[in-house]
Amino acid sequence: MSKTNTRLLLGAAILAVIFVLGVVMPLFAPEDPRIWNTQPRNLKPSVDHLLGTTNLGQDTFWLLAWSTRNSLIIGFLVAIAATVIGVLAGMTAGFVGGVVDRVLTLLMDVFIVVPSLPILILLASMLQGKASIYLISGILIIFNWPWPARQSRSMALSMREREFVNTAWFSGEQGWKIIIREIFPFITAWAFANLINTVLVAIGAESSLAVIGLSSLQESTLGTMIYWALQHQALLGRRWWWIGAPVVTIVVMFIGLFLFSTGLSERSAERRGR
Amino acid sequence: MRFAVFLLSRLLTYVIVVWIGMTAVFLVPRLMPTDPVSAMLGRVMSQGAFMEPAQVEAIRASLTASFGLEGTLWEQYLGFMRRVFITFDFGPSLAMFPTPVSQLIGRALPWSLGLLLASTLIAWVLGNTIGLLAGYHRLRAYSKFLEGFAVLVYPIPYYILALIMIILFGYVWGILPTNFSMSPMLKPWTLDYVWAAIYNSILPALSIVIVNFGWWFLSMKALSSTLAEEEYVDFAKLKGVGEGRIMSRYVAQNAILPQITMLALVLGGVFNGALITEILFSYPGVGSLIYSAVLQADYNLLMGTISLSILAVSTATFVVDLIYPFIDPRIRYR
Amino acid sequence: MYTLTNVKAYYDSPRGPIKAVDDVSLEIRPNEILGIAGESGCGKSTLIKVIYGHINPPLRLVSGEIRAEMKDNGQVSVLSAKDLPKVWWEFISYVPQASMSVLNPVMRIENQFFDAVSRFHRAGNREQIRQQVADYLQELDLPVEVLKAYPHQLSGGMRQRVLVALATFLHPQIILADEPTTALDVVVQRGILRMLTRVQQTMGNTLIIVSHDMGVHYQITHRMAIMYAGQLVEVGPTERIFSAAQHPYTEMLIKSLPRIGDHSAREGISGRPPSLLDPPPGCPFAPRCPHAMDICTQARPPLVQIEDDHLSACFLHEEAMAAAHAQKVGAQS
Repeated sequence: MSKTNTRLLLGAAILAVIFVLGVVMPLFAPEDPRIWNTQPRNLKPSVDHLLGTTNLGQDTFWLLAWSTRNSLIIGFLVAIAATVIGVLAGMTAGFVGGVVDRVLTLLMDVFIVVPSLPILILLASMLQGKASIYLISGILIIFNWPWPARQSRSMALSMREREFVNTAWFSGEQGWKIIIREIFPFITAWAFANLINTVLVAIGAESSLAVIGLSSLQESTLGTMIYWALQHQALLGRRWWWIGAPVVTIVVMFIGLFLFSTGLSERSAERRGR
Repeated sequence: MRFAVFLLSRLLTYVIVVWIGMTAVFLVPRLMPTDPVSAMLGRVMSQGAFMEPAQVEAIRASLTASFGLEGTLWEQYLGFMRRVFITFDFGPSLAMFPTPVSQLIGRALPWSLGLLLASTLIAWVLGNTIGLLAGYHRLRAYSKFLEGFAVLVYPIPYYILALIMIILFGYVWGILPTNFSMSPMLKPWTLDYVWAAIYNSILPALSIVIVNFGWWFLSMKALSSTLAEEEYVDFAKLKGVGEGRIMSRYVAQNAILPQITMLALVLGGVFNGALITEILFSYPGVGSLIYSAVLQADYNLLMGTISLSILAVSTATFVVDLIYPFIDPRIRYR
Repeated sequence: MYTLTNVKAYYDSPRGPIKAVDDVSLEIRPNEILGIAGESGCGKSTLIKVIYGHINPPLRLVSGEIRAEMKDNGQVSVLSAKDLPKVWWEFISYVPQASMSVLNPVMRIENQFFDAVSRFHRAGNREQIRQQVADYLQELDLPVEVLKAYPHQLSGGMRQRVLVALATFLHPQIILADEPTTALDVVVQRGILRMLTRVQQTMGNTLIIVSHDMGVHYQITHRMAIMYAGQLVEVGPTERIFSAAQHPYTEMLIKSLPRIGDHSAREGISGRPPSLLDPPPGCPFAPRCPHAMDICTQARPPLVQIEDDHLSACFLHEEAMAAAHAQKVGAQS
């Protein structure tokens, strides 16, 4: 078995576990884990409470499942929208060329260079913790479309020179048909790898905000879970379960996403090489 | 000629980047549904500090000015741009009234620059050197081991790594300070002062270095293992050139170019990471200043620090980008 | 004098050894231009590697002997394949295929010169080397300014001339040139060939040219070796090869050459060379040979002398038949 496939498989296995935790588990939650004081506080892990309970009287395991769910929603929402917008913008820039290309390229450069976090902090501080996870997703999309756009623009430029595109062009097919039939299949493999990578970036950015208390405080994500744990001195109180659960989940999730996305892009590079 | 075109296009991009960034900073508070002045004033008052009515009025005036709410929209916009680019005067800090914002930033800036420069440089040099060796010896065991380490470390976000550092070094082993604390008794630039500064910076720097190391290592390894297959490397071997020289002059020199471009691209991300790292370690830099501005609703300070961040990162990226033609002979102006 | 005796050099691959050089014996003489011809994938580049002593995994010297006599200040030392890397550039040097990427794009030409020659003490210090290289370039009618240039600033032809200058600077006894003119246009090609022959004539050393282009061999070589599927099928003086080819494969190669004033369609060579991973048991050319006989698929024809200094390996020659028979009888008794 090649190294590529081990990466891909390992990544997929890790992601499967995360999906069970974040997608399947919340369906079985016995209570809304966001509500405080439904359980005794600061219990150690036991059969009743797999990961103990928090200082706020929540069941850590169910809270973790719920937070993972929300983080995944943000991640995939941002990744799908950013990838779609990015690929469309990049393709347009690459194929149309001219002024359109120059304007779009400039925009890509701008959003890649401008550091997103200060602007996010400014925005979040204006909203004073009332930003919904959808608003935060929307802003993250603005900062994440340029990467796939850049890549698909250069792909489009190289593809414009290729035989099969020219053939289709000269045989009088319409532009959008060419894009859908000839180019899209070519780009999907790469776009999928990029999508997974953007999931990672988006979850990372949201939890960055959340850890310093600037994300949505009504909802619970992996980042806000860390925030509340830090706020209630989980470190000083050595309540490792509370702070450790989201930290370990993020680490494992990110390694899984990274392995999966690099495995994917290596595999598609290998296929193109053949 | 070609160089002039290159310089001009980069300069244009830089100007537009800064302009769009600043316009966003200008617009964000105006797009908010609530009146920012009253909201801010309310928050300042609710901090519990008793203020003379005259002082409240002074703050209100300053706030109105800060928010650029005097005059027409266009006048406000011009005024805002003038303070950002010419006077760099964001008024007094509201939380530490009446210390000027620029003074607070001036105090924090060297700390941030030191941390960011040192850790980025260390990570870049280490990652590239070790990545070069590992890429050149890609079949050896140590290369595969290091790649495994980098793959595990690189995807971890800054703040998580910082938390893990805090937990391990501060709580489990208890051997390094997790909260930046220097005695105010220490006189600047004595040996004790420098030592305390370094001692307190070890953990924040280390956590930035580790994440960045993973990235530079992985990309350098990929680059150099491709470059090691190039014809000119084969030909150098046939010339009887030693391994060390092949690595430094034939592989590294070609790989360093894309790595510098990459540095320009990721600088914004590194800055974001350093911001969070500073906050988690209470490091006395711009990141912590932004955080305290948010917590204390210090709007003047917030606008000042955020404008500065965008300006600094854009400028740094621009400068790194400009280095490129000076080290790549293929596009050097002759 | 440089001799290869029954040399077998294989590449190790997961599917078994690739027999790129399979039982080759060849004598390389002083003061000659030797051509090695054959289609791509016949093992000629591997043969060059073996002659150069560049034998690294997965390439492996399986059996046979390599013996080189190096003259140094009137003394003769005998070298084997292992010793050759130590005398690269001094005793034996190499001109690679013309390509954009043989030279390091971010290094000035002069530094790429130093890398090759500075190992040899007699070359002197950096400034002396620079002066010697500049003098040598002038001798070859090349502009001295190229030393300060980067590869991308030179034309394809100039880059190849620089590589020839690099390979001949230390006056080696043997110069190997692997497809030195392949990617260049005809006019540039002629210039490079003229330069190579001129250098060989002044130095009186050996030039070995590997090319799939029979025209190149016709223009400059004195002697030729025709290679097919890792074996030599014919070796002889160039002029005899072109006027009276002995092996059916050589005949086909020559027939495929275009001739001036002849507008009839060229006979291409039909079929493909056999895989070197699992060559057929008999003559490797048998599947494509118009004269193939039963014996050709069973036994391998030995390389036998047809006339003075002209060898060929084909059962059409009585000598080959007799030799094969003698070998068989010898094996049975």
